Amino acid sequence: MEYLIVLIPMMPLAAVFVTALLGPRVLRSNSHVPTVTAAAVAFVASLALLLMVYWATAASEKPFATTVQLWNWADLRQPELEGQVAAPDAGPLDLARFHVPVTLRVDPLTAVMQVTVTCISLLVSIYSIGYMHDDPGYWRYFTYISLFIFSMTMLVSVSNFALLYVFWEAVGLCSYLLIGFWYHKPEAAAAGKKAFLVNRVGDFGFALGLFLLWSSYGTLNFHDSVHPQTGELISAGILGGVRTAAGGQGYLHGGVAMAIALLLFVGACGKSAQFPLHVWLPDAMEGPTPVSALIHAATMVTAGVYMVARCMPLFDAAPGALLVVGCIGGFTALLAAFIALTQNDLKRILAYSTISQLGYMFLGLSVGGLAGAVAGMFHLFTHAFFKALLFLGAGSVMHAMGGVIDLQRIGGLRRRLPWTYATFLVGCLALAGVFPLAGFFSKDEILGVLYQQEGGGVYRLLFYAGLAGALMTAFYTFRAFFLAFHGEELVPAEAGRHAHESPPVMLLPLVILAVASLVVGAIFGPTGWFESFLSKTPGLAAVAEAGSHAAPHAGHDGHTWVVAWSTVAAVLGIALAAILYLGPGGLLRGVATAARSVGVYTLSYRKVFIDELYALAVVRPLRGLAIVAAWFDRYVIDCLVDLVGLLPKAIGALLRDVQTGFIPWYASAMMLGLLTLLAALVLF
Amino acid sequence: MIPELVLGMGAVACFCLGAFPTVRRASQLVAWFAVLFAGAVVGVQTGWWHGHAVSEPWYAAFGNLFRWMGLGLGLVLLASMRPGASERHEAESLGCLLSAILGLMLVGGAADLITLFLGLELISVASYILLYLDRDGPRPEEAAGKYFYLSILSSAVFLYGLSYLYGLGGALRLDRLTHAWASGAGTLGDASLGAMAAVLVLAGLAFKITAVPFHFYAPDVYQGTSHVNASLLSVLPKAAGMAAIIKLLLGIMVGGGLPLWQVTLAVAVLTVTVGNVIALWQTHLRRLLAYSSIAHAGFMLIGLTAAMTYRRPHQHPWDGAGALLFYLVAYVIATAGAFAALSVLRRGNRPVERLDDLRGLARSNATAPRFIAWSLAAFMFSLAGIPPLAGFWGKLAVFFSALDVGASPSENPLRSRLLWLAVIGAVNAAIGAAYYLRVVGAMFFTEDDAQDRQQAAVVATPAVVAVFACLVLTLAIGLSPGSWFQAAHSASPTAVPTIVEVSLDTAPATH
Amino acid sequence: MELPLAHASQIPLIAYLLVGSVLFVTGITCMIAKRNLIGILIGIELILNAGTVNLVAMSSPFVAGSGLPALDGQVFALFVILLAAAEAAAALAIALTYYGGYATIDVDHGDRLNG
Repeated sequence: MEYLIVLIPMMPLAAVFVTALLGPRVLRSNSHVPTVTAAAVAFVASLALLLMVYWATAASEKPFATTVQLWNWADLRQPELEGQVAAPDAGPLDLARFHVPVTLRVDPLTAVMQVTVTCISLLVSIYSIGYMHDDPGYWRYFTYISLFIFSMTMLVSVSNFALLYVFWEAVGLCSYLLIGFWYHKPEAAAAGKKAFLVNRVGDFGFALGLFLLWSSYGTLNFHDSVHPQTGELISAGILGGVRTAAGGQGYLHGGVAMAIALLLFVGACGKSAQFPLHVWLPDAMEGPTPVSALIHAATMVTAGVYMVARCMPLFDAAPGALLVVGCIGGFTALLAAFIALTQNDLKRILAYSTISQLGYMFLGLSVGGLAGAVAGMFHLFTHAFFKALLFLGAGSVMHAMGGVIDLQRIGGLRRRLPWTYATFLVGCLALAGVFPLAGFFSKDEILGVLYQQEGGGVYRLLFYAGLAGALMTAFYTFRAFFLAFHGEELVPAEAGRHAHESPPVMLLPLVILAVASLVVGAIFGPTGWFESFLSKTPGLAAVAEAGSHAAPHAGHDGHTWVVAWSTVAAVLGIALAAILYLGPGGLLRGVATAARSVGVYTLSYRKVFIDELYALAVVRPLRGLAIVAAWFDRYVIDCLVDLVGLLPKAIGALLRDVQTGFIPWYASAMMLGLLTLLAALVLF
Repeated sequence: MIPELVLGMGAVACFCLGAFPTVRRASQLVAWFAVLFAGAVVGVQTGWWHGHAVSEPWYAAFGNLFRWMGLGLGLVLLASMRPGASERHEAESLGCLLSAILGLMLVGGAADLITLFLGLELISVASYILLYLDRDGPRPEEAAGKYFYLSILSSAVFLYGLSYLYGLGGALRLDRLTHAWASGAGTLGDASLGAMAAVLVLAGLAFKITAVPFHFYAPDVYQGTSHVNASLLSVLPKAAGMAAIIKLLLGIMVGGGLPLWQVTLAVAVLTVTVGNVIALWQTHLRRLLAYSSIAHAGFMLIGLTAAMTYRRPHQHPWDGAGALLFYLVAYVIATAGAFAALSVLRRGNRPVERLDDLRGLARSNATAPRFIAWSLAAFMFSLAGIPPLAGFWGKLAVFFSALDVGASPSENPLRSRLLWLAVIGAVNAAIGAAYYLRVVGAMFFTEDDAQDRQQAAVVATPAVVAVFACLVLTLAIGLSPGSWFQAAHSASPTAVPTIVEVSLDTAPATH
Repeated sequence: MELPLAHASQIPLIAYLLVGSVLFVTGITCMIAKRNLIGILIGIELILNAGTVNLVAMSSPFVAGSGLPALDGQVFALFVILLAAAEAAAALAIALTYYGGYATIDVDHGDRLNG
């Protein structure tokens, strides 16, 4: 197990060096080989790791975690303190013990994340072989992708907040490099820069959170350090099980806990594109589409969700912060879904959808405790598959249409791109949350825990927000689907003679992801495997044990009700989209085709024929609102975030005028400064 | 004193060789030999390879740190001096460079006020002459004039402050001064005299480290001179100034009970903010790096402020002075590396000076410009404090030193102010990333669109080696900062060396 | 160590310090107000001499109440005088190149580097 957890990130790291050194001269058009090999090995290794962790946890009731220390990165401990046992009365500022060990951990949460990350990485890098095949920066692309896989696998397996921050920055850097990959497009370069800068705002909050963690807990390690010989506790980690289990210090409560949780959440907002730091993600679609699938849909943007789930004990200690997480998540889910209603760029729709789904994950997390973490993580897990599928499908459309992705210029592609059509439909159904696809179970889980939560009316409101979001999700998903694949066939001129189905190397990942989207929800959701597995994670086990959110998850009441409502929302959304975008005549055709493709049930003609007037009465105002929301987002939120970035520049412009270039002026300013300092020191 | 003597003799030899046109080419050889030989002597004295030091007793860890720094910087600067750029004055330039390094080493090891002052002035006078000899920059005469007049003003102010420091403490020796101020010399009589001494000394040194409001010269002068001179000005006076600040303000005057930390706190906040926000506007590379160096002085002052609040510094592993030294090391490596990297690039017969000149450097066809682009990116990221490079640990150490005090359980007003100081530092670190990113973006994400201009090309191989050395160090410190932390941490308490009095014969010492 | 500022019979230390401070302030004013490089140079010399006067007075056995037995301050003063000479040489050289660049030694013209 120890070898595997080291092997997983090391393979892509080796691929980075091999591709960077050999790519431009030797490998050339074979530059994908190291990356794909490394991702494949990493994927197999993480599957093995998952199984081993599963066996280890199945054997006992206790939480399971093991750590491997690679090397001690920064060690500020005084030599005489090495290995010494902490005095019980040593205050929180036991600074003499600062060290940043490069420690990788194996526990259920990490294992799940590793499998998700490496699986999507493998599929996306296979897909990229076809998608990027004649790009001049082929080797550069795969170097960056390998670097990203390395950083992301490290991010989910490190056992220290300082290292988490390091890899947090590293994935941000990879994202910046890949968004700006086609740097000759000015929008791409600008989008890369924007992503980086908006993320800096989030990272700043994260860094402050780390400062506060450090000064309140005196350590940044997740795990407890134990003396190698005697087994005594040297220093307790923040998320080690010892704090609560062995009656240790326990977590801080009150204002400090709230501040820590909120600051960490600011970091999560930046990385996971939550309001108001979500503005970078739609622009990030300027990067190559496989990158959007890998980084900006399935893995990197979920780092914030992972972090909150990982730090659940810290959030659990501050219920107020959890409420904020829920409100931001709910608002983001609604806002992004609203905006997605009227977009015409397929990738942008998917980007807003990603933001909205990430909002869902935070909604789930906001319940707190084990249930919240499981709900959020489960949606992260399923979402990775179907959103990667949708993006890769969109990439396949782009590939065929010569880079055009404007829904007003393409249409009726179901005959030209049959495989893409079928797999995209699966992705849409999963995203819309139709039974029994992946999205149904995970979304249902989130709505379920929200409905169960006894935290007062706010959670009930959030539940309704989630329900409304589900309706809109189904609507915009199928709007895009119908516009792209149904109706009159419309092929833009750019497509040329390229307008055919993608090569097998791109279709294979699509099919695999489609199968995964069909089954993962049903396998892991209702069976309770996911929950029981994650509950063996030390931090989550601790919160479950603490029992502040004691509501037992299994067999909750009203679950059928929740299921019914979410299904109604999904079907209603799909039906509305069908009515609007296929027209009365096309409606039958579309729904029938859709129904036949799924092969689950057939719909009768009359039941779906909803009064068009009603549709107009409801949907037109909704569209108006969506346009307003999009405008608001583009011109107000975006500008506000930009303004925060411009503020230092504006101050700089004022201060610049002082720099006149005159020697006498400089000399007098210096003397004035001297006098001021003297006055300050003498008078105060 | 052997390394200092070697350097001094080397400098004299260079100046002498300059007088004879037939042999002046040998000055290059003499300079390299002097620096390398001095380095070897320091290596032997500190026990670099055989484990135990044979250093002179009056040379403490602090002095040795600055010896290494000075010699390392000397090698980098020697390598980046372009032979042939100022052929007529090559010997003189090399002599000045050696004297400047000697100055830094003297300041680092100074145990009395005279050595300290002369060390600082050695750097200043040498840099006046270097600026004067410079013909590579766009406006050398204005740069030289500005630097000279403002620098000498600050030196004179510093001297005036030193005279009060001396008078109040009654000695030139730093250890005696420490003792005298700790026993209340600075506050006896009229408290304002002590304050005056402190402020005058601070103002004089603030110029050397480019702290606001004594920073004005830096952007203008850096812009007006060549890359090598800008490099020298941004590292040597800063390092020497920091050494002197640690010795005088932290080692001596803090003991006088003055609330000096409030002053340095204000200066730190101003410096870091002004440097960063104005840097956002710059398109000239040396000017940008000048504002960057101002901002970094502010970050170092955060460490100084934290250090001034300690009662017992040894209990603090995030000792602010140690953090400052660590930051300084990371800063000088990255800055000297960045300037060395810029100095090897030419477009046609023109040096690379503006952001636009860097366009598309990372996609050059030749290997050498690509290597320079990657190195420059690494230096920028280190300066921006992006892990896992050296600068990241510098920032971390400085912020943690402030937090160390800020979060300590006491109801002192100092506490919250230092917390805010750390927060302001973190905000500025975020702002700073923006302009470093512009440099990287210019190299990596833009095309070299100008057809009329010539491709950026690499000249001068020795400087490439220097860039490589700086790159290796930046990475090495970033990947394994532990021993560097330890070195900085153990160096900081020895800033004021205790003079061991040895009697030459059996007769009792007559003191 | 206390700095006794007055004594009955001889010229007290405070008088020297006052002379020093007058020199200092005059020098600063001169540096800021003068536009001519040579005038500025004179200001610099005044400030340096302010420091020198202080150093000499504080360590002189002939100044009443200076109380410092060692002559080290006077040694320091010698070094400062040496330094002032070196700097005056550099100053004149720089003034010459400045004249070469701007055909004047009026510092107001040197504002082409700004922002």
